[in-house]
Amino acid sequence: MRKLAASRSSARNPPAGELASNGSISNSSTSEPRQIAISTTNNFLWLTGASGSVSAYSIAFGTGKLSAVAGGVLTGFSSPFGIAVHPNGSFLFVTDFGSGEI
Amino acid sequence: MLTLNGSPVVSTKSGAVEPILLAVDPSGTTLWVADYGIGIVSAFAINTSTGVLTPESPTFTVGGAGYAPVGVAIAQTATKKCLSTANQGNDSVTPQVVSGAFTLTIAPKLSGLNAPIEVIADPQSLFFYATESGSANVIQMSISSSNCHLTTVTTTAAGNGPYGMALTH
Repeated sequence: MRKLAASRSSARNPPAGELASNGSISNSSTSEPRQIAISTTNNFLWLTGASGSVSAYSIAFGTGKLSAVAGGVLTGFSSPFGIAVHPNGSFLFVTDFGSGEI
Repeated sequence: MLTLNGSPVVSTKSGAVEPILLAVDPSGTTLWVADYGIGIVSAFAINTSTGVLTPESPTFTVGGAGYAPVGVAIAQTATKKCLSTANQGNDSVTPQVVSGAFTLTIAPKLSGLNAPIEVIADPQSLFFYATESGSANVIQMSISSSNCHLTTVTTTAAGNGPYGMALTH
């Protein structure tokens, strides 16, 4: 199973849709990043990591740069994979590939 | 701050063993989960006040053993709600017609892809897009609003072994 290689924010040029690197951020709590979800308000990003955690990042308005959220790492998963945000913005759903749970 | 609520955690082991990607129905009342191991899609009712999930039955095949679905997405067309899975193991995308809250009716699969991984719907629900990890392409598929059938529209080169995608809204 191929995995996403990096968690990297990118500056977006809306007219052309072109992408340019806007730096990267590493977080030892979430190695082997898999899937991402963005909040309905567009100011948070959540990331599943094969190491067994889900991590939260804030998204800077205008630049898109990511910052780890204090207390925003949730551990205890076996092998979290998919992640989805509920339309009301109140809930995240995560599949745990390793334990067969959601 | 992330908080893991104990009660919403549900086990899929009775029907599914390797839940992988998931999609929340646009209504917010149903969570659809693809199972990589046994090639099914499972439905869960969402309590929109608490987030608690309740497994619904039955589960729905995406075609058979070995299909290995990964991605799942939903499109709400003018007349039908359509769900599709990207079947890495079968080189196909399976569309299904969504009826009511928890029922899927399988439609003819779109074959000839190369290890599709993820599938997403455009905001207007006119197209699904799938990444092909085997041939490094993104496939654009039109969605029939009358029966959810899929037709390939374009194939675009996309790097080296593409996996995930996201669309602007």
